[in-house]
This record gives sequence, C-alpha cells and structure tokens, in this order.
Amino acid sequence: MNIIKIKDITKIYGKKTKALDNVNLTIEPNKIHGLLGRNGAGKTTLLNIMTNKILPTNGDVTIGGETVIENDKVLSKILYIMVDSTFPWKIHKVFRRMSEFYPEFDIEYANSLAEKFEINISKDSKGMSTGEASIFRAIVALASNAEILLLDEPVLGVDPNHREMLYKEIIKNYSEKPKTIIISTHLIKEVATVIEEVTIIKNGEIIRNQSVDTLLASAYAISGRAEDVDEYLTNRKYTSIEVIGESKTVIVLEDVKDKDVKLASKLSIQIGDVELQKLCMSLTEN
Amino acid sequence: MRNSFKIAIDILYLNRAWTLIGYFFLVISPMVALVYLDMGVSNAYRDAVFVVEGGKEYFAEVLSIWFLLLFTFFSFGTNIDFMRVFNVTRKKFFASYMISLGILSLLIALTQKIINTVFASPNFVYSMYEFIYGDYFFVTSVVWLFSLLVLASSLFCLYTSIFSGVKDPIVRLFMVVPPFLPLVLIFSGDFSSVILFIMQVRTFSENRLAGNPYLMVSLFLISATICLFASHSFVKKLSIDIWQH
Repeated sequence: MNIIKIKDITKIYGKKTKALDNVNLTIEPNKIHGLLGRNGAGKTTLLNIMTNKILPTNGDVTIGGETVIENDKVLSKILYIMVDSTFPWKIHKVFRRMSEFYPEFDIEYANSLAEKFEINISKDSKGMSTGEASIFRAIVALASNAEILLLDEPVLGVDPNHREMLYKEIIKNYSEKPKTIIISTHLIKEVATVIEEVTIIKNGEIIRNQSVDTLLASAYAISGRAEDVDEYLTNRKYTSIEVIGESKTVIVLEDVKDKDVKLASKLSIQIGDVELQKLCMSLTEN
Repeated sequence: MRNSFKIAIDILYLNRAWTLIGYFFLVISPMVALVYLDMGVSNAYRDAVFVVEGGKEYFAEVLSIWFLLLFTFFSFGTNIDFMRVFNVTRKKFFASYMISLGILSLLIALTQKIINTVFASPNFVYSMYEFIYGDYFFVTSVVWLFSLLVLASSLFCLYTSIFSGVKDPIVRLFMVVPPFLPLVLIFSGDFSSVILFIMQVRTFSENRLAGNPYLMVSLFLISATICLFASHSFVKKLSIDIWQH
C-alpha cells in the first residue's frame, strides 16, 4: 500500500527562511486529502519535497516504505500537477507523451474529458488562458491513472460551471479507480465536499491532520449577545471573534459533544456547526 | 519508467528546432563552405584557416564546440522544466543530458569527418574499408574529435550547472562573458589568434604525449569524467527554486 510517511522534514531556504519545521505526517492511501494553509505556509514546499523537486534540509519522505529522494520507481507512481506546469507541445501531443512516461495514461479518456470541457486538443498547450490551462492540467492528472495525484490549485482561474464539473469528475474518477489524491487549495469552501482528510499547515508546521468530520466535530460556532457569549466562553478555548453591533459570533474549540446546551439555552445563545473554511481561517490566523 | 537513452532522445527532440538550425549553420555549412568552396571570409581568417596546416579542421572544431556550448546553455532551463513535469530524477536527467550531448558530439564528429574526407578529394573513389581504416585515419580522428567534444560538453555542463546555482546578477554577468569572448574575437577580426592558440595547445599536448592520439583521447575522457562528477554534484543539489528564482 502506498502510505506516504513524512518524517522530520525541515526545509530552510538560504540561511534563515524556515519553510518547513520538523514536519511529521502520515497520509493514508486511497483517500482524497486537502492540504490547506495560508500563503507561504509551506504547502507547495511540502509537495515539492514529496515529489523530489526540491531536497529537504533534513528528514525523509517515504511511499510504501521507500524513499522518494532520487527514486525513479517511487516517483513513477506520482503525478504532481503544479500551478506553473507547462508542456511544450500541442495538447494531443502532450497526451501521447504522457502515455510514454505514464504507461497507464488513458488517451481516450483524456480526449473525452477535453471534449466535455470544450478544450481544443489541436491547440498549443502554452497558448491557453489560465482557466483552460488549469482544466487541461487536471485532465492530464485524471487520465494519468497514477496511484498518487498531487494537485496544486487545480481550479485556478476556472469559471464556476467548469469548477463544479471538475470536482464532480474528480469524485467520479476517484470512485471508479481509487487513488490517493492530495489537493492543495485556498478555495476551501468548494473543496470541503470533495476531501475526506484534511491537513492544515501553518508557518511550516502541521497543526491539524485528521478527517474532515473529526475536525468539524472538534469545534462549533456560537452566536448571541456579546455579554452572554462572553459568559458562555468562560474557561473555554475559542477563536474567530466577529462582532456586529451587540451581537457576537465565536468559534469554540471544543468537541461538539462537550457543548453545554443547557447553558446556551439559558443565555439565549445559538449553537451551530462550523464551516471548514471558517475553522481553517481561524486556526491559521496569526 | 522511461530509460535514460529514451529521455536523451526526448531532450534532443524537445530542442529540435534550434538544434537543427545551429547544427546546419555551425557544423555543416561552414565545413562544406571551407572544404569544398575553399572560401575565405577575410584575409585574417584566410591566413589562419587556410595557410596554416590543419587550420580548416580547427576552425570547424571551434564552431562545433561553440554550438555545443549554446546547446548546453540554452537547453538547460527547458530541460529542467521537462524534468519537473515528468517527475524525472536528477540522476536520470543528468545521465540523459550527457547522453544527448554525447549523441550530438558523435554526430558532429562524424559529419565533420565525412564532409572533410569526401570533399577533400572529390575525385578519389573510396572503398568502405579504405574510407574507414585507410590512410585517412577516419576512425581515429572521429574518436579524437568525439572525445574533444565530450570534454567540451562536460565542461559546459559543469559551467551551466554552476551558473544555475548562482543568484547574484553581477556574478552571473561576469560568468556569461568568457564563453562569448570567441564571438567578440570573430567580430573584431582576431579569430585567427583563437585558432592559432588552440593549435598551439594541441601541438603542445601532442608533443607532451609523444604524438600518441590514444593517450590524448584517454586524457580528454578522464578530464571529461572529472567534469561530469563535478557537475553532477551541482545537479544533485539542483532545486527547481534555484533555477526559477
């Protein structure tokens, strides 16, 4: 099984810039993972290290027990689609070349997806708009049938209709041929329905690595009059305070099971579920 | 997994447009022009290229080496992008790159020798045996030229990999100047001195090595290996962020 194990990874750029600080992470196979974090948190650095694009200052990444560093056998299982991945050929030629590097690449499926997303395959892959290029890269990834797909901002510049179609296609592809998919994105709201596991990275450190359900169950939102909310928060951990007039909304960092319904009711406080995006934003706030 | 040889062919195919143009203008055309038409561009060139014994060959060698330098330098970035999108390891990238340079070197050496041998005596009818093993030392001179070009390729690979790791623009500017000196000398009309200098180096080396071309070839190949190991250590550390920023 292709369990990805990231052990003690540290990456220092130059002499001072620490992009990743002693990162330890285990990524279960055949699941869709979300790698979330703010700009400069270290997401792309981590993906680059996982695919041997850059070398870590310290630590190792193993897939199925074998290191990825300069390991052809392991790297041939991974397809990493970067935001700036460029292919110097026409699209139909890229599909052909991909099949030389990834023997499982399904050209017919790639062509059908191109037709579905209205991508002209006789077009030069370098001369596409940002949105088209993102769709094209996603098509390449999905048709590759690689065991591990790493997608960095897969819907960058894509219009809402195509984004919706693309997410559906990712889920369809995954359900037909299960594989490990890691999606790094800022569009948390949209990706929340797609991902099963979530890894949140902040200032080069992993602050959360759990299933989306577990993460969402670890917090809840309360709203009500400011004084009542403050009373409820006594001896409780909380974050993300929003004040509108006399009303206050807060995310309580406490298991949903531990919420005090009686107290909330007494104080006329409303308790609700927290959105993944809100929770991520609050967890990654400095 | 695609093997190194196939990736080397990919690299040549990837850079095919200007490789073919460079190959035609810097390897084939000058050689044909020099050997067959006996054409002098100016008096300075004429003296160096035609009057001095072996001048034509040296002139062709210099152009070939320059072609390899351009190929190595300008294809490096494109090839790194290629390596990135297809998840090719540095080790394989380096091996493939050197194989592609080796193929180019062999092609140049063969082209030069065939053109030189055939056009030097157009009325002479060769048998294949004579052509290859006869008085013209076809094989020996191809091996010699090949080893020279492999040495040049590995030197340029070392140079380019060091260049790719340098971030300071001023240092980069200084590094760009030396390879372009021959070009400056060509336009300043002093190219003859470049050819004469190379000839002196070669004569000196040959005298030192008692005129033994195999020793010369071995020396070149040993130097090439040292350059390869040195440049490999740079490529090993190569990260996409180094090249991009």
